[in-house]
Amino acid sequence: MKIVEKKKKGRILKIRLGYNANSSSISAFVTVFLWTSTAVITLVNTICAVALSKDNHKDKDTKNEQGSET
Amino acid sequence: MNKAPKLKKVRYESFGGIVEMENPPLLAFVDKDFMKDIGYQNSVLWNNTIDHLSAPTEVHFAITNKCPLRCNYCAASAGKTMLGELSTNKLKRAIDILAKMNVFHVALGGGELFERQDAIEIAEYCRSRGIVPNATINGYHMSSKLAEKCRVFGQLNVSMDGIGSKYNINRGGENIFYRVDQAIKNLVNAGVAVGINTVVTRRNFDTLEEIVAYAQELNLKEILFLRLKPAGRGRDIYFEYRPTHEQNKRLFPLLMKWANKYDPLLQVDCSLTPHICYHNPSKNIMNFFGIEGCTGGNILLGIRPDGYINACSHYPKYYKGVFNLPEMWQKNEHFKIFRNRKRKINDADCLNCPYFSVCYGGCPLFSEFLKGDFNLPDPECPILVERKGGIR
Repeated sequence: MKIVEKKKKGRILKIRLGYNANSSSISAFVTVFLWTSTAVITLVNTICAVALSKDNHKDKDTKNEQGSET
Repeated sequence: MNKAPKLKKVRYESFGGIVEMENPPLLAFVDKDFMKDIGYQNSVLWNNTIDHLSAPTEVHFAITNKCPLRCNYCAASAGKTMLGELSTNKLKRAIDILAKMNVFHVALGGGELFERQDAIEIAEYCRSRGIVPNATINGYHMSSKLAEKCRVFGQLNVSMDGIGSKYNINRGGENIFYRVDQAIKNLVNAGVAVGINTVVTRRNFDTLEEIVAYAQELNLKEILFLRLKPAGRGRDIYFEYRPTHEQNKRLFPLLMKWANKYDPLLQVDCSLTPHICYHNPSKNIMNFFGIEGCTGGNILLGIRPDGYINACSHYPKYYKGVFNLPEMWQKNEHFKIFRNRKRKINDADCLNCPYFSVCYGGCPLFSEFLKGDFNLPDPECPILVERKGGIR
C-alpha cells in the first residue's frame, strides 16, 4: 500500500509566552515589539516542529469531550 | 544542559485547541487543522459557538491572607488569616478540580504564600496533577534551605518597588530591602527562575530603571510592571499614588528603551494595555502575543483563600465556590458580565479606536472605581484622556 503523507495545514492563532507568575493579573511581554519577524518565524517553526514531532503526535480518535491529553 | 522542547498538555477549545510547551514555556492557541495535524481528531467543542474558553488557562490562587507586611497598596488587604481558609486537603481537592478542567498554570499567592507551612506541598501537588505552579512572594521567609525546595515552581516572582532606601517608597512600613535582596539571591543560587513584580506609582516612576539594572546584575529572568490597582488598601491611597497622565504616556517608550538596553524580559500587566495602545504599536504583534485588555472569566480565574472565586482577583466580589467551578464557569452570571463587557461598552471614542479589538475598553476595575460603571471604558486610558480633554 502506498502511504501518502498528508500536507500539514494548521495554523497557530496566538501565543502566550511565559508562566505568568504574577498572582493577581495577566502579564504580557512588551519585549516582543522589538523582535524581528525572523525571530517570530523561528519561534513559530520551533513550536510546529515540536508539536508535529512523532513523540508528541497523538494519533487517536478521542472521545474525551474536555479533550485533555497529558 | 538545556531540556529538549516538548509538549506538556493539549486541550480542546471551540476554535481548535491550546497546546502547552515547557521549554520555552508557552501556550499556543491553534486552529482545528493544527489539532488534526498533531493527531487530535474531532471534538464536540468544535461544533460549539461559545466565545469563551472551556476553562481558564491561568488561575490565581491566594491560599492565605496572612502576611507579615502591611503594604499601603496591597490589593488583597493582606495581614491576618482569613476566616475559613482552605485546609491542605481542601486545597488539594480544589487543585483536583482545576486539573480535571485542564488548567495549565496556577499562580499561588496571598497574603504571603510562605506563611503557610504546606506551600511547597501544594506546589508539588499541582505538579503531580499536571499543572505548573508559579507564585508571587514578598521574600520575607526565603531562606537558602527553602529556596532549594522552590525548584518545584515554574517561576517565582518577588515583589520589589525600589532598590535600597527606596524599597518601601510605595509600601511604607519597615524597609526590608536587604532581606528581600538576600531572598532573591538565595533563589537564584538554588537555580529557581526568578522575576520581579514592580507596582508603578508616581512615587517610584523616576527610579524604575534602577530595578531593571538590579535585575540585570542578578541575572533575573523577567520584570513585570504592574499598574497600581484601586483594590483592597490600594483604594485608600489610589489618588495620592497613581501615576500622572504624563507618566502614563512615558511608560511604554521607557520600557522599549530598557528592553533594548538590558537583558531581563520586560512585561506589563493586562490593565496597562491602553497605555501601550497610545503609542500605536503593531496590532498584529499584540494579537499574536496575547497583549490584550481584560480577559477575566476567560483566560483568568481568581480564587480566594476560603475557596470563593471570581473572574479577576482584583475584583471586590467573590462567589461560592471553587468546588462548583465547572458548572459556574459555564453558567454563572458574574463570569458572563466580564465576558460581555466589550459588547456593552457604548462610548463612541472607545469603540472607534483602532485598538478596541485588542484592548476591549481597558480594565473595568478602574471604570467601576473612578466612574461607578463597570461598562464604561477605562477613564485613565491615555488616548481617551486626550480625546475627551482631561477625564482625570
